[in-house]
Amino acid sequence: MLISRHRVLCCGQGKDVCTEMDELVSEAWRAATPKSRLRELADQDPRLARIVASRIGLSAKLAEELAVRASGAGGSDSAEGTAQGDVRVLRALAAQPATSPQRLTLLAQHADEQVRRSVALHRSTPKPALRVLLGDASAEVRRALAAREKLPRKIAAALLTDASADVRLALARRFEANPDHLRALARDPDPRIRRVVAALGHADGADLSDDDVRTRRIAVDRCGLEELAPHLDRLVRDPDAGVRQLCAYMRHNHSPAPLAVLAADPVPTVREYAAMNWYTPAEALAALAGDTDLRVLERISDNPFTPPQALAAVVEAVPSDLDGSSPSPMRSIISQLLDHPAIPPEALRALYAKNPPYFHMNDAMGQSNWPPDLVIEFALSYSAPVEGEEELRSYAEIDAARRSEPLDQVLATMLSSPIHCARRAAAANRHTPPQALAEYVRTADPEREEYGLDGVARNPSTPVEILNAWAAAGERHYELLKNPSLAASVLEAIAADDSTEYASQARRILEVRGYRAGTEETC
Amino acid sequence: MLTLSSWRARFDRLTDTSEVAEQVDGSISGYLTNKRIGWYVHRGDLVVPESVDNDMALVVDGDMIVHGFLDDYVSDVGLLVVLGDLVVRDLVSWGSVYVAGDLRAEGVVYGYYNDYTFEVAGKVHARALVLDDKDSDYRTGELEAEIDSYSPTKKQYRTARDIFVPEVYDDGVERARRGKLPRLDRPSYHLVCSRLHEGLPLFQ
Repeated sequence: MLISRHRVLCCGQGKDVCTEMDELVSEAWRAATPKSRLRELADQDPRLARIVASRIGLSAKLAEELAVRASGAGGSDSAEGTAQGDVRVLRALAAQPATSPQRLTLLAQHADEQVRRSVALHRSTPKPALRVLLGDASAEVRRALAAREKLPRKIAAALLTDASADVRLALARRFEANPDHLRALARDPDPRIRRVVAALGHADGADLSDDDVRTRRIAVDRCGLEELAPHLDRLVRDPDAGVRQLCAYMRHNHSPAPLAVLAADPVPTVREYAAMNWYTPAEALAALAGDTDLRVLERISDNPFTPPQALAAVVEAVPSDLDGSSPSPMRSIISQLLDHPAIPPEALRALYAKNPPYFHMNDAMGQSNWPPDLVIEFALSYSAPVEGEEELRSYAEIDAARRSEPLDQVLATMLSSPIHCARRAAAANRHTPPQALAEYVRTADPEREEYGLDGVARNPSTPVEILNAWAAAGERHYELLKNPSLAASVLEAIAADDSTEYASQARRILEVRGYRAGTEETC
Repeated sequence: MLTLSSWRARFDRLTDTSEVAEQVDGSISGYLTNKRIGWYVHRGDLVVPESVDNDMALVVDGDMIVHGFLDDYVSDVGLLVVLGDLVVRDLVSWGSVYVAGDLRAEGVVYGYYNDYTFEVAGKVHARALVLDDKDSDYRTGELEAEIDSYSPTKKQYRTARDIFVPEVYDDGVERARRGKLPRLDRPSYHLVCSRLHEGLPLFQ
């Protein structure tokens, strides 16, 4: 630290001496200082000589002059008898780009470790000097050699078996590390080295059964689905919960049997990730619905493939009359249940009876699964008081009909009501007859009825021809993907349209559906 | 141009930054104690033989000498703590720079943008120091021109205009064609950076 050291040295010498030294230091650094003056400054004080030796743009000639002077009359580059100040000059020159290869070769044998370390890193150090440094007694010097930019292949190979783990670690961390060398280091006795190799993906699977927990975690985290699949049966029983948790991530695991094991793990965070995974078997998700950990229930209620009966079981765990200060996972659980596309109508009724916070009639009217009596009630309550003769008459008709007529017919009537939210609620609700939905779509003004038509897209009772037509036309993909009973043909049409961001989601749903074929229960 | 992370084998992970955070005085300590930032450390002086793109969070436990310019906004935002002196040809900084000793630049030191910090516990020596909307703390050393971060004076603008080439000013080339001086304003950070990367001069 040039200046800091200089300040310490100035202490006690008076302000004038300090100021004078400051000026000389500035002069030694200044780009415009002539070479002749630099020589004078370097002669004047070893601290100034070090600054001159460190200068940006130092000439090769001046660098050599400084080296000769700092190395002593014989130019032996021995530290013995060399003043400390001169050693610092040599350290600066060993890192100075202007220093010649010949001088670096001499400095490679200098007694000072820092000098040799800088020579090991220098771009211009010739190969013979590097070979000398390979046999250096100092691990720090050999470590620098392993970290240098261009490392001759034979020297790198020799460093693979260096006695110092720090040297081998530097070799593994090289920016352009040789893959063969990394494979050789995959079985290094030092776990730090194996972790680096695991992170770079050159362990050829050995890292997945490494004794070191962190190496195994790194290995699992780096692995793709296919790479990890053959090892999952063993890894899901790993003694480390972190490894098991990583195995439960959807990006790592689509395998039903290992996921079922993880869903029954004693550690809640592992079960949490199994509960999030779309590929976790329905029976395992159903079992997780009875979990005592709220975080697990939060993940279950957010998984679009959680079976209806499991969602109903989660509803049972929701306490009545919660206030807004209830714990955060419970708030998420309620919000997610209210919005879940597969929640059964009677589960929604049970949840509504618990007077849940965050319930909004307006949101409920856009959800397809509410029982018909409740959704009709919501539509009438939300639209009251209505104005105008037509709306008043329609309101009275719906109100009377819900007491005397089948509720699906009331919903069909609501689709032609002049009351906007009545139409919207009926359009989204699964109990509305398909023929009525088809007629609504045929006659609706697409601009005026935008929200209603979006509800039809989410509605599992909507005739598939309508959904197919929208999917093929690139319309309402977002809403269609919220439909819990979407036909494969609709999903395929969305998946084929790469111009939208929903294609990959549709492909994923198709994949999960295929995987769950025969086990999926519709709402 | 060297990307600093390509030298990662020379650096160690600094898992415990508390000791360094105690040594420094300023806003940088907040970045040092931020657990989301992965800091590295270089033990001893660090000499970079060419221009460097600092794309990492690095503590240099000694002096740092860059035989070229240092830019910390090329491949990523860089954070740099030098516990000794920092010596460069030029420094253009969008990220954070903290220097415990002096900062010496042959040319320009430009601190830009209101995220991140520019702090020098010693003095800044440079041909020109330009700060623009930058949280900064430093002492003035040898400077031919200095433009404050938040309330520069017309005199500061004029002094800088006298030494910079018109090409570093927005509309500078067009105005020069019409025989006019650049407007009294800061040199453009983007033009300064692009000229440095193209190896073109910044000063008349």
